Amino acid sequence: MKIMDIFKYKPPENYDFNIQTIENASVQDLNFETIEEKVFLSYQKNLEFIQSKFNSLINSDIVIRKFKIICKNKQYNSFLVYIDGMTDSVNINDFVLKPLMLRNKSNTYIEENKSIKKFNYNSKKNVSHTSNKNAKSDLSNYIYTNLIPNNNLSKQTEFSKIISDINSGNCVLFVDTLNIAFDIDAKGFKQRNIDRPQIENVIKGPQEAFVENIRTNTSLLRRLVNNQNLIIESIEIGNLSKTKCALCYIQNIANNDLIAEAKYRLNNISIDSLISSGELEQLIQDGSSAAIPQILSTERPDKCVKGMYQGRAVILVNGNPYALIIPSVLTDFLASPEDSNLIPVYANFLKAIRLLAFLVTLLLPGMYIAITNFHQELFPTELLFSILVARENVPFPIIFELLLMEVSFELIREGGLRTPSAIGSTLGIVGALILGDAAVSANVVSPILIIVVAITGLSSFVIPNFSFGFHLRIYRFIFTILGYICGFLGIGIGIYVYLAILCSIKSFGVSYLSPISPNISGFSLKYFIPPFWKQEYRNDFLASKKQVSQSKYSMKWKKEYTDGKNK
Amino acid sequence: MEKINNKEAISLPISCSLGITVLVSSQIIASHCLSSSLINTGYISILALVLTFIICKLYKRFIGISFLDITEFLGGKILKFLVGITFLFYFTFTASIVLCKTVNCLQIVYYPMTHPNYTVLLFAITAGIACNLKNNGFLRATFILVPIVIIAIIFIFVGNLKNFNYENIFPIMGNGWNTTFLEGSTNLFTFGGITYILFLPQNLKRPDKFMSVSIISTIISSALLTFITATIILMFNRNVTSGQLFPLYIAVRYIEFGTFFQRLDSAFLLILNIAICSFLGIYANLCLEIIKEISSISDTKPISFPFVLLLYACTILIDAKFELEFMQNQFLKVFFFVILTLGLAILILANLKKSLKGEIRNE
Amino acid sequence: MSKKMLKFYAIVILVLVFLYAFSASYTSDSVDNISYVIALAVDENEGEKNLQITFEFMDTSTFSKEGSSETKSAIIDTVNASSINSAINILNAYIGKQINLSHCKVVVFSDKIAKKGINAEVSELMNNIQVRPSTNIIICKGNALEYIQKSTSQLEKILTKYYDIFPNSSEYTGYTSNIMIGEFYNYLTTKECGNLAILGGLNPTISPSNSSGNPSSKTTGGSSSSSSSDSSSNKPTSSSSENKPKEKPDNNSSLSEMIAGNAPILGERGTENIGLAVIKDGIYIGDLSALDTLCHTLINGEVNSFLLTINNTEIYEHYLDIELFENMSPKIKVDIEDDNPKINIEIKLIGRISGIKDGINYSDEPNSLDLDKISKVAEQTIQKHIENYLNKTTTKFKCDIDYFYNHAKRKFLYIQDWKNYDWSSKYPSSRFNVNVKAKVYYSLLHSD
Repeated sequence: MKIMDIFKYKPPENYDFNIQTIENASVQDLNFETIEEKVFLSYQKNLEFIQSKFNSLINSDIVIRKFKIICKNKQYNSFLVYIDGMTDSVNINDFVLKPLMLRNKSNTYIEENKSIKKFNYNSKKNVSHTSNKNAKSDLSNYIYTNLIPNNNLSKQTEFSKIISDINSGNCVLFVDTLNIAFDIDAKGFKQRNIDRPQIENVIKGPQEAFVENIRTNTSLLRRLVNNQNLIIESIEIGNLSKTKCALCYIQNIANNDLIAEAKYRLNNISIDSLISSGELEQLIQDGSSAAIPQILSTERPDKCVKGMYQGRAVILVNGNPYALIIPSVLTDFLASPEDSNLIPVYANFLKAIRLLAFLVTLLLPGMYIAITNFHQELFPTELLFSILVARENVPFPIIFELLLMEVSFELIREGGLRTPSAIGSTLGIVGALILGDAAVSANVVSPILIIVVAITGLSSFVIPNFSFGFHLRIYRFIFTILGYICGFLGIGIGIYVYLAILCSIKSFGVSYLSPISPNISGFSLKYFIPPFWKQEYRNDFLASKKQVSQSKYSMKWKKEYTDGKNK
Repeated sequence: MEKINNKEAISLPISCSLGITVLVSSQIIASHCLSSSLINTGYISILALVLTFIICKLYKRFIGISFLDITEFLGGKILKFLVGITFLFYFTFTASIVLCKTVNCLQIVYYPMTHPNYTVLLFAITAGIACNLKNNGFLRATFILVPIVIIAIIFIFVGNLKNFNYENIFPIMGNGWNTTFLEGSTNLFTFGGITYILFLPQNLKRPDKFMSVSIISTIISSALLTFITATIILMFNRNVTSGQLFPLYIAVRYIEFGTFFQRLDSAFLLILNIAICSFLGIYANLCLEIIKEISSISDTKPISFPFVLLLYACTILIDAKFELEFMQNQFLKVFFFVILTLGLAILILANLKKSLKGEIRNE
Repeated sequence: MSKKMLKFYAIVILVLVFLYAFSASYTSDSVDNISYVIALAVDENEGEKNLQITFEFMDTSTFSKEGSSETKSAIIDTVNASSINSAINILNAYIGKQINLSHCKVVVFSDKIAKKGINAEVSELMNNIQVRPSTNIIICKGNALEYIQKSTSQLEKILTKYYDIFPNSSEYTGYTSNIMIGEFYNYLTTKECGNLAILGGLNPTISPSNSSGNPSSKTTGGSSSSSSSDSSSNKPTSSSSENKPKEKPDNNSSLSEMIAGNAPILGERGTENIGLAVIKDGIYIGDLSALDTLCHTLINGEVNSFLLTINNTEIYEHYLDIELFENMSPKIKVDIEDDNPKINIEIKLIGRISGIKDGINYSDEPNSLDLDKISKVAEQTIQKHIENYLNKTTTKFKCDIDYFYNHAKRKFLYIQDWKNYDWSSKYPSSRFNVNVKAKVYYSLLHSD
């Protein structure tokens, strides 16, 4: 660089890129791409169509393999289209290309004058008769039945389905002169193995969790249900993404109206794409009522199966390891999968702990601030003086202290989620040190408040459901402000309004606080559960087809023994 | 309004009666009847049961039909409108009086520096929110909250057992037969739930269970009234009614379990605040239903907040212009009897008309 | 602007409005701005403002880590005023924080002010929403300020704990009673009966080692915050700050004469609470000794157990200590005979011998004690004491301090009839029939 260059004028380097906004975007702009064409008879036309739809000149992973099929000793132009990385190459080579391309007995076989043995049901003997004259022209049938040794093969005529299947990992065969295409399942993309649940851990229970692939998930459900009445209906959601979803239910238990309503909602979603079950949850729930979760989201197959056997339905979304259980009530969000694996005494004890945690995490900071601001007489005298002493050197008002600590706690919690595990422990130590010791030593906060915030935080971790715990974290702030404004009056009003909102929510036609309110009959399992052998009836709020789930004496061995003794 | 189940329906008249009993009538009964308060309580409980039974019997011919429709059957739209306005006036003022009493008490105890209008506004907004919720949310909330309030009242009774002086019920006839039975029958206004029962059948999922629902709710209300009156009478020798605070609150201040559980009155006020919110929600919703029936409004949501503003205005009016004691002692008592008489008269006349003319035409 | 945004703004505005509206309440009531009185003393002031009110605050530094090992002390401030409320008002201006009585444990009245009547003061306290009905009320023989100053916690770390638990001794001694201001006020407003308060007194013997723990040396507010020239008469007696311990007078005061102030106790705390003060129409008229208090608590069923010492050489040459327990609640029945009340009292007790002078096993022959005789003697002793006590109430105090009127009310049907009977005038002519049944079991834990 020359010295004079220093004094040269250089225009400012302003790289300013803006996306021009579209004004007055309206619903009419929502033009969903629909493919209505069907498979052409001409090989060339099919090829051009596929090339244009998949932009094969640009897309690097779209593979179109052209070859000639040998069939009945004749050659036909064909091509195979698939997406590299999503298919199993060995499967395609060995079970699609090989039998189609290489000469073998199957593809050189000529059917004429060949007698076929067929079983005669009247005489109950094998009888041979001349083959059907029309079989000579049924090329598609011949290819379908004789040439492609693949377990999952279907004939498709509509390009919309074909393209969707190619996108999901199938390979499709087009043959000249045929107006159908062969949709071959050759999926071979890498996916996660069935692993332990990440969030819903249990000590004494199954350790399997859902994965991203919908078929694997449905297989998990099938294995556990082990009943032919399990229906897994496939629904595609998203006009562009055509995300595969599955509605699973047991048809002789689930209420027909519930299933109809679920199908109605799922089939009437007009969106471009659906990526996660969380998005689907927002699209199908009854209303965005005050940030309270209305649909249970779980990664455990056993929880889903238990729900289906109660009469609920499960929705799976391809690409997401979380299933949605509908309908869901408040007691479901406070229940842990462990509850059914423990004897009732332990389970009810844990449920009591969780209920206490629910109240503590929601109300403790608000109550603390209400009592210290308005109702100090509630404290025992010695505790009150301890609080006074603790607060003597603190310059901030209690509300500021509390909000500061709560926000810091939330920051640490969020930070902990995003840090790698190696740093996570350091974060915990630093956070605890900063929040706990240093803040108290510096007289920024009082030690009593640290205890309050810590207990509140611990209680929030006890809540088994992530979404439910999240909503409690938000409402806690509301109760804190109410308690600060007008003490127990504010808390009381908050409790009433919160309870009324909970009572007004419905989840797929079921009141959120069922079976507590409305209290229809005595057959529902309330929050605390009886022993398993006493759970004779299904929850009445689900209105399942089969109300009775156990006989009156489910332990027949005991009854027979008792009866035998009495004789 | 969505139809409600039996158990929820039982909790509604109880909530209506509780608000009046705790804040207004217990004080009045204790001050007028003195040592014969418990006898008076038993007497008015029997009267209430009889009245409830009569109302249920009169409703047998009009299963599932609303009270105002019966009025229309009797005297046309004009009578329906007039009766509706009367009941609306009664419910609004009852709610205002109870709210006024609550706010006065809260102001003395906890908010001496705050103008009571703000506290009233807070309650009014809560009532408005309750009316705006779907699916009878506030009704279901009442069903959950009423048992908690009942437990609190029983706890106050049990917690004060050691402070009770059982001889306070003597002399047994108090100020005489006249005060206990004749004048004492005016204390029937404590059963505000009876006026709510008039509007209950149309909202029941099973209208044939109306009688059992009404009787059970009246019995529970009587039991609660007995507990509250017993607590006041057995605890205090002196006349506690001249004070601004309602006697049950003063009784709570005496509860002590060791040195840790003391001064539970703020905890009691927390529960009472929730009970008052529930009470206001029920009354506000009832008033909106009446407005809906006498006018041609299809949805009451747009008028819910204007109505609670009206409730707010009434409460401020009572606080500012009228003597609260006059309102609760005279106005409420007299008006209750007017309403009850009107309700019974309409039902009796409608029954007579029906038996003379035949089937009611559904309008 | 969308509906949702409007809703959001409306909520924010409402929250701000309510924040503003309630701000005065929570600012004034916040725990940072309040000082808590743990004891209140009311003395007579001879000046224009006729009351001297003493407020005792807890020294909160004793709750901190550094101060926890030191002797617990209190901060005492005194104000001369015409009423308790005006005293609170004046002191609020002095100390900066607002005074709050919700943790006040005791209210002490000096005997001088009590003799003039305490109706107004008690009524004032009861109408203060902060005062707990469970606050104990004490009539002190002597200066109430000195009583507060000398009430130190010996066995408890915190002074408030001492105030909480000292009346509990009534349940197992019977020498005092747990009288609270709520109950006191209840009976104060009843014309038919008298009233009782805890009797407190000053113990003149204090060991010199406790002079550093004397709260009077830590008084910050001085003995008077007003400019009254009569402050000299309000200063605590100088005897408390002397170095030499004073000896108690050689006084074997029996239970019948023992009251607060003359109990044969030598200890570090300068106050004692034995006996009860009798109040009639709000005026202090007399004392109940330890024995009288025991009789009162027996009749009212307030005592669970107590010790009776028998000195009867027919049974045993030395003193016998018997621990007696209430078998069932006393039965009281009032009849009206010849327009005068006849009161029947039935008390059932069970007892065990808790102490024998020489420790010999008297259960074996030939030294065995006749338990039936002991029981009879115990019954007669207790009966005699109770009769003497009841006699006192009718002749000396002339008011119903055992609340027999409650039982007499049963005889009347109407309140007017009861009022016409005028129980307070009829009570002095009451006759008593006391029946005590005591069953003594021999149950020493160890014997020779």
